Amino acid sequence: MKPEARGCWRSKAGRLLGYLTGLLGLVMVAAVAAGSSGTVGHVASAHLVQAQLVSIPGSGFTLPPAQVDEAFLKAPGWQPIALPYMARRVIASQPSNASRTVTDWYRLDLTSPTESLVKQSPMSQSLNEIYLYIPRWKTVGQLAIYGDGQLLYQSEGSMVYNGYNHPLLLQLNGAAGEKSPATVLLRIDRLQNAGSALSTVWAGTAQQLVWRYQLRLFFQNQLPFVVGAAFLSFGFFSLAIWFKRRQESLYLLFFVISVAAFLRMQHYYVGGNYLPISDAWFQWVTVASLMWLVVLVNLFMERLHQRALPWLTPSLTAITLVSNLLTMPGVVGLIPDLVLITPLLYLLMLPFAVLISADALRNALRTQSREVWLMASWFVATIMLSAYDLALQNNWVSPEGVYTNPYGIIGLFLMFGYIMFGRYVGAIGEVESLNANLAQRLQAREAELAVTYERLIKIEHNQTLSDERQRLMRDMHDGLGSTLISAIRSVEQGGMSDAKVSQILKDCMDDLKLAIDSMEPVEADLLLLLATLRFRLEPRLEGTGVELLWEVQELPVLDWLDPSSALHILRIVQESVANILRHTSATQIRVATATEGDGVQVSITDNGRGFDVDKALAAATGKGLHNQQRRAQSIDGVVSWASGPAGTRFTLWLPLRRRLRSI
Amino acid sequence: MTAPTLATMATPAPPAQAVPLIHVAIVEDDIGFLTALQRALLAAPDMRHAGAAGTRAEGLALLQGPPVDVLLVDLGLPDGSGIDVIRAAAKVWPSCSIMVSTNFGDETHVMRSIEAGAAGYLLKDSSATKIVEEIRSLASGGSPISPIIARQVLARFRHDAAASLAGDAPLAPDAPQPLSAREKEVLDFITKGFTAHEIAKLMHLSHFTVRTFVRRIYSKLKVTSKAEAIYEARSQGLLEK
Repeated sequence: MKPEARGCWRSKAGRLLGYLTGLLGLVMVAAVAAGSSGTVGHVASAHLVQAQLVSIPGSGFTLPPAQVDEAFLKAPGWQPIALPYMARRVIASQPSNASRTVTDWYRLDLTSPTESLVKQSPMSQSLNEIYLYIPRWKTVGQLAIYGDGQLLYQSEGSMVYNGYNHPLLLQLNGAAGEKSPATVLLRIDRLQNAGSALSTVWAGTAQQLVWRYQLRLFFQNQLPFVVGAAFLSFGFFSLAIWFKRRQESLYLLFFVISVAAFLRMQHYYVGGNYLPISDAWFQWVTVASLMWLVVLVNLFMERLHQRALPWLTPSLTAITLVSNLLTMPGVVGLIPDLVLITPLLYLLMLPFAVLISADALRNALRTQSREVWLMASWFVATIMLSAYDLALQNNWVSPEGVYTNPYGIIGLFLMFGYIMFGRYVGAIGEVESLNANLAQRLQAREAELAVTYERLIKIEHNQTLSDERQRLMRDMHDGLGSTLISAIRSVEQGGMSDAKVSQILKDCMDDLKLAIDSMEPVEADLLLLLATLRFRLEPRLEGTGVELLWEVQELPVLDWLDPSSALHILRIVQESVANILRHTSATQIRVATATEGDGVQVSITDNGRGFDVDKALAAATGKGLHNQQRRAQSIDGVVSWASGPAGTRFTLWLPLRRRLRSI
Repeated sequence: MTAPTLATMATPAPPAQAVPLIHVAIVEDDIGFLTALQRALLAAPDMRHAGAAGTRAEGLALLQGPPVDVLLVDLGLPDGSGIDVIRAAAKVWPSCSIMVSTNFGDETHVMRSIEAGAAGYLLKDSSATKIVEEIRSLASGGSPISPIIARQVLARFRHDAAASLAGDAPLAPDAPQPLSAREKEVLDFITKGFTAHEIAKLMHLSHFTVRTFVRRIYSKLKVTSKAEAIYEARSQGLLEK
C-alpha cells in the first residue's frame, strides 16, 4: 500500500474521530448542565438543597413502616444538613462491623414551592401533579419515601444495585384530588461501612423534571448499555475474522476485550430489578471484568508498539488472577465484603495503570505511531476518569456527578474501531495494490512470452528455410548439377550424338520432376509417394519392353515423411529402377510393399541377370549403391540386395517411427 | 510387353474419313513447344491446327472466333495468367476441351486450371506421339490424372462434404456435387499407383470409362457460381455490360 494513500484515509478517519469526540464532549456538557441548572422556563421548580437528618443505628435491615407519625417528626435529634450530603465509606472494614446498619431519615420541606406552583396555574390539572426527582442516592441498603407520613415508594431488588446509579422520578400525589404533600421523608436503611450519599432533590411538574430525569438516565444507563452492546457485536465480527485468519491474534484480542467491556458495562445499567445471579457474583463479575480489561488493553497496546516490558504482563495477570480467586464469592466470606473492598482492588490496580500509561507514553514517543499515541493518551485520560469515579464511589466528591468509566469504554470502543478499521482497510488496500501489481507483472510476463514465442517461430521458420535450402542445394549439386556438367563436357569434347545429349537432358528433367514431387503434400503416405514415382517413370519404361507389376498393399502412415526424406526415398527407388534398366536386361519389374516388423518394406524384384553384390559394393563403380545406402541411413532405413541368376531383389526397409533427430 | 498406362491409354487413331477432324488451337509464348506441337499436329491425320496466340490478350481475342475442339493453354503468358483464358474459354466455348500445358504437372498449377475449367493437362516434355495421344483422348471425353492430383481432388471433396455437414444446410444449388462411390474408388486406386488399365480390370470397366470418370470428377470441381461467372465474363469483355 502506498504511504500517501494510507495517510489520506487515516487523516479522514482521524477527522471523523475528532467529530465524534467533539460531539461526545458537547453531550457531556449538556449532561452536567442538566444536573446543575436550577431554572428552566419562566416557572421555577423547587431545588431542595437543605434537609433535616436523623440517623438511628441498628443491626440489620428492617422493613419500612407503612406510616410515620407526627411524634417521630417532632422528636428531638433532627440536624439541619446541606444537600448533597455524603457519609464517607469505610474502605478497610473490620469483619465485626460488617453487619452493622444505620437508618438515615431525611426530612424535606415542600410547603412553599408546591403552593407557589399550584397558585400560579390553578386551572391546569397537570400542574397539580407534583413530582420528586432525586438524581442520585447511593449506598448499600434500601430507600423508602413518605409523603406527609404515608409510605409512597420503596426500592426493590438488590441492596447493592437498587439505586446507586439510577436516578429516581416519583409522583407525589397520584390519586384523584390528592394534594401534594408538604413534607417528604426519605428513609435510607444502609450498611454502616458502605457510607451513603444523597444528591440535591427537585420538586416540580412533569414538564419541569422529566427531561432532567431522562437526560440523566440516558447518560448514566442507556448510553453505556447501547455502546456496550455495539462493542460486543463489533467484537463478534472481529471474532469471525479471527476464525478465518488465526495468525492475526489482534482480532481475537479485540473480541475478548469487547466481552470484558460488555460485562463491565453491566455495572452501570443493571439494577433496580431483581438480578438473575447473586449480588456477590454480579459484583465479582464486574470487578473482575474491569481488572481483565486493564490486562487486555495492556496486551493490545503491547501488540501495537511491540516492545513490552518483560515482567509487566505476567505480574499484572498474576495479580488479577489472585484477586479474582480471593474475591470469588464463597472463598473469602460474606456477601457485603467484596462490595466493601472493591475500592481497595481498584487502588491496587492504580500503580499498574500508571506504569502502563507511562510505558505507553514512552513507546508513543519512540515509535511516533499514531495508534500508540492514541492508546497512551486514552490510558492517561482513563486513569484520571477512574480516579474521579473512585472519588465518586467513596463519596469524596458530590454525588451529583456522572460515572465516567463508561465513557472511557466508549472511547476505547471508538479507538479500537479506528485501529481495527485501519488494519482492515489497510489489508484490503494492500490486497488491491498487490492484485494490481500482480496483474501488471502478469501482463509484462505475457508480453515477454509473446516476444519469445515470436522469436521462436522466426527461428523455427528460418531453420526450416535453411534446411530446405540445404536439401535442395545438396540435391542439385549431387544430381542435376553433376549430370549437366558431364553433359556439357561431353558436348564440348564432341563425339556425342544428339540422341545421347537428349537422353542426358531427359534424365536431368526426371531428376527435377522428382525434386518437385518431393515437395508435394504426400501426407505421410508412402504409397502415394511410390505412385508418384511410377507416374514419373512410366514414360521411361515405354518402349523398353519391360513390364511393371504393381503389387502394392496399404501401408501404415509414416509421420516422419517430410519433403527431405521423401526425396531420399524417391531417389533410392529411382536409382534401383535405373540400375535394372541399365544393367540387367530384365523384362519384368515387380514392385511390392509390405509391413515388416516395426517398419515397412518396399521391394523391387527383376528377372534379369544378377550381380555380385559384395563385389559391386566394394568396387568404385558401386557409387549408385553407396548412394542408396547413404540416403537410407540418413532416414534410419536399410537397403539390401539379394541377387542370383534368376534376378535381383532389392529391398528398402523404413521404420514406422524415427528416433528424434538432433537439430 | 508394356502395361498400358494413363499416358499411353488413348483411343486408336480412327480412319480419317470416319470421324470429324479435331481442331486444335494453342495459347503459348514458348516458340519451341509451339513448333513441336505444330509438327505433331501436322503428322496426325485426324487433327488440324486451328489457331495460335502468344499472349493472354491474343488468347482472349481468339475466343471471339469460331470454337475449336481442343484448346491448349500455357499458364505463364507475358501479359498475364493463362488461367484467365481458360476461365473465359470455358464460358464462351462450352463444348471445347481445354488443356493446360505445364512443365512439371505440379499440383498447384493443375488444380487451379481444373477449377478454372480445364479438362486435362499436357507435360511439355512429352514426345510427339504422346502429345497427339493426349489430345485425342481429351477430345473424346477422357482426362488424365496423376496420383498427387487424385489425392488433392479427394481432399477437396472431403473438405466440401465436411463443410456442408457442419453448415447443416441443404447443398446450395451452385455447390459442387459430391463424388459418387465409384468415382471415389477410381481416385483411391490412382493414389495407390494403379494405371487406368489396371483399375479398369479391378473394377470391371473399360479403361476409357475410367478416363471419362476423371473428366466428370474434374467438371464437378469447376467453380459453378453463376454470379462469379458473369462477373468474370464481363471483366473479360465477353458480355455486353
